[in-house]
Amino acid sequence: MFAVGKALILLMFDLVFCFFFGTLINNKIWKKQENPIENTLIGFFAQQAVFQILALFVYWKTEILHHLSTLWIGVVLLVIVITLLVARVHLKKGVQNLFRVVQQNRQIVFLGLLVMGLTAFYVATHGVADDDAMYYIGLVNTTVSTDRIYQYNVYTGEIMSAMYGRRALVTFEIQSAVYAQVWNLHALLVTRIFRACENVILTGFAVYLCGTQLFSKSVHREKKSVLLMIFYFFMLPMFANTIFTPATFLLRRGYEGKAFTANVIAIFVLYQIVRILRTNQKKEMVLLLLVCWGSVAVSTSAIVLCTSEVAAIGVFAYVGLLIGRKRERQKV
Amino acid sequence: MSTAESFISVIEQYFGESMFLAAFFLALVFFYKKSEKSEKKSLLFAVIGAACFFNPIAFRVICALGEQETYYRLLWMIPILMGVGYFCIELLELAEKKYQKCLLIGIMTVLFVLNGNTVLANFMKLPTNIYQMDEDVIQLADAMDELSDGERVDFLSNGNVEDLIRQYNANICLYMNGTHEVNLMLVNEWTHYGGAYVRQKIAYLHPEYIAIKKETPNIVHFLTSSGIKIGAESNNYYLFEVKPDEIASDNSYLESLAKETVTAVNVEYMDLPNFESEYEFLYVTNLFSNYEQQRVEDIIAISKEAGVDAVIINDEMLPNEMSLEECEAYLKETDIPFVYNQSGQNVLEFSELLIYTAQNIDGDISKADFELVKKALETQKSVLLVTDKLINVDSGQTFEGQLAELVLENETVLQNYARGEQWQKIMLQNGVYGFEQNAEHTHMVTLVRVH
Repeated sequence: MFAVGKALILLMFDLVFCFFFGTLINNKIWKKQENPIENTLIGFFAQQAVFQILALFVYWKTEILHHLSTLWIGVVLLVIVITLLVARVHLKKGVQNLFRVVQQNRQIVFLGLLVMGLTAFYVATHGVADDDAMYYIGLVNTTVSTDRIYQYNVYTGEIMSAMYGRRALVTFEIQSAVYAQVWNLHALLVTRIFRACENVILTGFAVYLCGTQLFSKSVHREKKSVLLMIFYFFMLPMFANTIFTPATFLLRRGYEGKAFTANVIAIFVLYQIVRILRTNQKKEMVLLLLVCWGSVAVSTSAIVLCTSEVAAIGVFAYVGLLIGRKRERQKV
Repeated sequence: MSTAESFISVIEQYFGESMFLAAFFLALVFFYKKSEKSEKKSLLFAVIGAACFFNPIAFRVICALGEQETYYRLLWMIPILMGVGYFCIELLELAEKKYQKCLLIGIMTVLFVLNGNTVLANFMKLPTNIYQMDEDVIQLADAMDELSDGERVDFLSNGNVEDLIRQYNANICLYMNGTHEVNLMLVNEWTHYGGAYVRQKIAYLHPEYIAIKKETPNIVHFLTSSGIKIGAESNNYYLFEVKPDEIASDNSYLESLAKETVTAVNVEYMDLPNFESEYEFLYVTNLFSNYEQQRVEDIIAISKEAGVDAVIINDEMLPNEMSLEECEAYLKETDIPFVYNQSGQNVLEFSELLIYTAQNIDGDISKADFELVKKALETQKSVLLVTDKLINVDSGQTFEGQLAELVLENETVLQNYARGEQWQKIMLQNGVYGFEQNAEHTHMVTLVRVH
C-alpha cells in the first residue's frame, strides 16, 4: 500500500507542477486572469510539449532513459523555482480564487469531489488487461527495465532495428517511464493509478471549464459548472455501452493516451475554441496551438482529433462569427 | 456494403442502442434557442463544419487514407455527454417546484442505475493485488526473477500469462517468431504432434522457462519425460526450467547415417491409434530439382543403410538437369521403393497404408488420385498425404476441395503440412497428424517412423 500512496503523492505533485507551469504561462506571460483549473490544464499540455522536445533530444543523442530523467528533474525544478520567483502573486491569487469558488459552493463542490473521487477509484482499480495494455504498460515497463528509449520490442523484449515511426512523436509513455524511474514506482502503478486518476481529474477540470462557458450568463455559473461535471461522471457508465465511446476509454483504459484524447483533449480543445470565439484574442489562439502541440505528445489519435476539431468546429464557427459581425455592422 | 451503409454502421456501432445522440441533438436545439444572435451563427456553422466530417463522402475519403478502423475516433469531437449534461441542468432549472426537481433527479438516477449496471456491479470487485495482475503472473514472474537472479530470461507459455507478464516484469522476454509448432503443441495439448521435432525445437529455441497449466497433464508429462524439470509452481501453473543439454535426445538425430551432403537425419515418430504395422520412410525434399549427384547418391546410401520401406521425394520444381524419365530410371535401378510427386510414380500402397504424393505441377488433383485416396480410406487404410502446396479447403466441388474434405473428415490421414500455417492449423485442429519436412534445409532429411 505504500507504493499506492506514493503513486497518489506523485499525482498530487504532478497536478501542482501543472498548476505552477500553467500559472507561469497563463498569468505571467499572457497576463490572463487567474484561473487555477485552466492553469493546471494548460500546464499539463505545456509539460507534454516540453517533455516531447527533451525526449526526442535524448533519443537522438543517447537513447538512455536516466539521462532524460535527470534532464526532466532539472526542468521541473527550474519551472517551479522560476514560478515561485516571478509568479508568486499569481499563484496566491489563483489559490484564493479557488478557495472563493469552493467556499461559495461548498456542498456542490464536495459532491463534485466525491463523484470525481469515486470515478477515479473505479478507473484506477478496474483497468482492462488486453493487447493494448500489453503495449502501453509494456512500453513503460520495457523502457524502465532496459533504461533505453524505444530500443526494445515491447511485446517480446528483443532489440529492435528501428523504432515504430508512427509513434515517434508520442512521448506520453516515455514520461510515465521517467516517473516510474524517478519515483521508483512500478510501471503498473504509474499507469493504472497515477495516469488513470490524472485522466479523471483533468477530464473533470475540462468539463468544469466548458461549463463556465456554457453557463457564462448564469448567476450560478460555478455551481452549474460543477453540476455539469457531476452529470458528466454520472453518465459515464451509461455511455460506456460500446467499446468506442470516450466513456469506455475513460472507464476501462484511463491510463492510455487515447483515453486522454477522447476526454481531456477533445473537451479542452473545444473550450479553447469557445474562448477564441468569445474573446477574439491572439493569446487564446497561441494557447490553442500549445494545447494541440502538447496533445501530439499524448497520442497519435490526438493529432488527427485536434486538427479535425479545430478545422470542423473552430474554423467554421469562427467564419460564422465573422459573418454574423459583418451583418450586424451593415445593419448599424 | 456501400459507403453510406458502412458509414451508418460505424455510427451505429459507436452509439450502440443508447439514446445519447438524440438527446444531444435536443440539447443542441435547446442551446441554439438560448444563445444570443451573434453566437447562433457560430453554432450553426460549427454544426455544418462537423457535418463535413461526418458524412459518407468524408468517410470514403478517410477509408481511402487507410484509416477506416479509426474513423470512430473523430466522433470524440462531438461533446455528447457535456451536451446531454447541459440539457439535464437546464431541464432542472425549468422545473419550478422542488418536487418537480426531485422527480427529474429520480428519473435520471433510475436511468443511471439501469444503464450503468455493469459498472455498478463491478464497482466493489476489487483487484487482489495492487498491480491488478493475475496472481499466477506475479508468482511466475517472481519465481523466474529469483531463479535467474534478476537476469533477462526467455519465456514460453501455454496460457494467457504471455499477454500479461511483460507488463509486470519486462526482463521476461517472449518468443513471437519461430515458435509456431511449439506454441500449437503447448496451447492445444498435441503431444502426438511431432514429439521429437518439438523437443529439438525447444532445444534450439532455448526458452529458459516454460509455464504450463497444471490442468494440461499431457503437456506436463511430455515435458517432464523430455528431461525438462519443474523449477517452481504457481497456483495454476508449473514453471519448467529448460536446460538444452538435459533435454532427452531420444534418437531425434541419427548421426551414424550422416553423409557428406546430408549431415543430419532427423527422426519423426507418428503414433497412430489402432495402427498395428510399423513403417519407416525416408522423406526427402528438392532431390532432383536442385540436382546434385552426390546428394542423390547419399540419399540412396542412407535409405539402404536404414533399410527404409520407401523413399518419399517431394520436389518443389521439376528436375533442372535430368529429365523425369532419367530420374525415375535412376531410382528404379537402386531397387528402393519410392514415390516421387513430380513423376507418374506418385502412389505407393502397403497393407495398412497408402502413400500419396500430390502431383501438383499444375496445382490440380486428378479424379483418379482422388478416387484412390477415397478408396483407401474406405478400406480402413491410413493415408500418408504429401503435398507441396496448400490444399485449398474452399475449392468446393473440385477434386482438391473434395480431398480437403476427406482429409478433414478422417483422422487416419497423415499430412505433410510443411507449407502454410493456416492450412496446418486446420489440419491439426481436426486431428490430422503431420511431420516436419525441413524443406529449406537440404542438408537434413527426415526418417518418418509410422507405428
